Amino acid sequence: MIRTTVNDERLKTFLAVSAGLHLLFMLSFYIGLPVFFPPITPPHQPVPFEIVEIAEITNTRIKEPEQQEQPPTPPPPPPQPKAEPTPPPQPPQPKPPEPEPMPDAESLKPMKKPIVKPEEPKPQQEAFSKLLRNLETSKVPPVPKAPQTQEKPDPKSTSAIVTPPNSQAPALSDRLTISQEDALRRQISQCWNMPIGARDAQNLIVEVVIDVNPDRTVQHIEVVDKMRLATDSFFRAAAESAVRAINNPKCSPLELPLEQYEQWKVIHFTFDPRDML
Amino acid sequence: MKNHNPPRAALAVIVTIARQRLRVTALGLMLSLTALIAPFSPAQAEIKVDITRGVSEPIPVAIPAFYGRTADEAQFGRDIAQVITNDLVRSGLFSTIDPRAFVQDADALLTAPRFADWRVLNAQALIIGKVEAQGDGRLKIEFRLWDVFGEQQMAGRAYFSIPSNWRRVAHIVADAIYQRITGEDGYFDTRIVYIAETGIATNRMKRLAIMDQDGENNRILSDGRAMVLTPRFSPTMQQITYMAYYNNKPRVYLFNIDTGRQEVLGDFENMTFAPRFAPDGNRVVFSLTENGSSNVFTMDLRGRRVTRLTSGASISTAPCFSPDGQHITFESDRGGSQQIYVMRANGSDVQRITFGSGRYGTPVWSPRGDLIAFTKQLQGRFYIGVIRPDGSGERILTEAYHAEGPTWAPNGRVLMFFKDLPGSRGRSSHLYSIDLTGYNEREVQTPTDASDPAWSPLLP
Repeated sequence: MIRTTVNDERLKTFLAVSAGLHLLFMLSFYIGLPVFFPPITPPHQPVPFEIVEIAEITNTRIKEPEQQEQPPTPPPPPPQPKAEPTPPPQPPQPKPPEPEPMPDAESLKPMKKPIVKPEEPKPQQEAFSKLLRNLETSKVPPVPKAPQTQEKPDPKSTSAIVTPPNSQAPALSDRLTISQEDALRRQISQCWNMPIGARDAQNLIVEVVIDVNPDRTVQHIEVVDKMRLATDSFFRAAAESAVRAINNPKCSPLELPLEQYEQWKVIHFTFDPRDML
Repeated sequence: MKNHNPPRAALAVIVTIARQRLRVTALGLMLSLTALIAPFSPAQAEIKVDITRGVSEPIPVAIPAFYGRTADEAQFGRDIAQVITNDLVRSGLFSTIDPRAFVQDADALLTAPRFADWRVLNAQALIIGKVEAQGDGRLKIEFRLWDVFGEQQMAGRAYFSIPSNWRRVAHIVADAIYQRITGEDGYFDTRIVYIAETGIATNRMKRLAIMDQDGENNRILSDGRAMVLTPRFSPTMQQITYMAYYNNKPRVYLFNIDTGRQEVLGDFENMTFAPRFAPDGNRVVFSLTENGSSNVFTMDLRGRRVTRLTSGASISTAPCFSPDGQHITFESDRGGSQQIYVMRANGSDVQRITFGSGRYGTPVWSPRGDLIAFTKQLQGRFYIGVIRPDGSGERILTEAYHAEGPTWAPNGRVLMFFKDLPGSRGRSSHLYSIDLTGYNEREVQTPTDASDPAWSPLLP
């Protein structure tokens, strides 16, 4: 009997302790554990990033300087919508009053026609199709126009973006982008009067090396094949047409990003009429 | 001392060799380092840009009146500048700037052109000149061609001639300018012979006529008693060959423009037609009918020896030499339909070069040698086109109700042909020129209806 009594009492004690502990455990869920040492939180550091899109043939006259200033601003969400200067949103920004691109004007028929310069449209129609005429084929297809439209970068807008050449702003890349090269190619194409009807025009491929001033004007032009220049009158005429294209005031200054002068101070042009014959 | 000298010398040699080796090694090291670094060095950066598209626009040129001190000289100056302007513009390769926009007069230009001002007008070339009467009654006409963008003189020449010859000098100046800018010979100092047609359709008079390529100085060469057809210029002298019906007998004749002398080419039983000179001017290739067929022959003009080039029962005609004299192109129906063929000048190795639908005829080899012009008939319409001698690259330049008789300018850049246009008073024939590219088709003004043009070589 005595034994049983002792056992009963011990059991009660255990039960009480167990209940108390359970209660404490439950309470800890409700109240939470006390914090004795406040944690040292590291300061919030925003990680700057930008989304870059590589356009195929547009002259995204990069508005980077503005965007790069944004990362320091505290809230991360707002930068995002602004941070992507994808080609479509850009056109509104570059001033519309000077819409040089002719074909663009045609596609937007009613609005822009009055603004367009009166002189140019006709030659431009021929400009980017085959230049040797064949009545048989020319009847069928309409003039295939190259998408020479929105990317015409108003030279003013180009110069507006320019940062000082010696600024240490990180260049996006060490080389010109495809878009930038394309802008230059397009610009010179519009000033190049090709030697279309010349004999063996397909062989009149002219290579020219030019030195460019920091202000994007041409300093010096040199035709690479001097021997042929001196002996072949057809080649000389073709070479002179290339030189005239580069010297043409309509194509000066060259459409190049001022801040990357080191990249384009020497340019090697190849004028090749074969595709247009 | 004597003993020490040889080892010292040897040592010196060794040291020298060692130094040289060191230099070479150092140099090699530097070169390889440079080679390694070079691709990454910004100083070596060079952008490569291919320009594969362009425009085809007339080159804007400014041609102020040539300067003349006296009133007469100034008048010549104005006339000469006008002829040059017309020549260059008609070629389609040049456009001129409105003289009202000119920023310097002829006098000021002679001292120094202000290129910046001419650039503003978008003038790419500037032509200035001067007319001066000489003590012996001749005129001195000089010109300078300036590259406005490059601010350099491209050409400059002076000519002396009698005043009545001013128009020809103007054409020669235009040729020099054309040649310097395009690289091709000019074609302005040339003439055209053609058939002047007058009278109603049932009694049409066809006479031989000649004019400058710009339509000036028209002259009728034959009296109209005989019908004259298919005149062709000799490539070497002022001589024409053509077919004429005298006493209803069609024969090939030779005619000297300077002397006015005409002679029949050989005395054949049958009809001879479609004559053309060989490039050396010493032979004529022509067709001769034989029992309902026709074949191609050549005749040596000195010995009058005749050589047969084709044979057979088909019709082979309209022969034309290549400019190097090695080949002849002609039309023939030997394959069933009328097509164009090319053979060696001795009649061997005949190759057909046209395979398109329609009938191809009157092939004419370009003086440049790179193309053959032809006439094509298809579904009731006529086409003038060009094709390469190997049969590739066929292009149609123009079409009309009736268009025929292509003839090349001596530089092989421009074609002339005639079109018959149906009108209220019957058909009317006119001459047209067109650029090889298929653009710049223009009518050549003639006092009467005109057909069968033939372009002369550059005048001697």
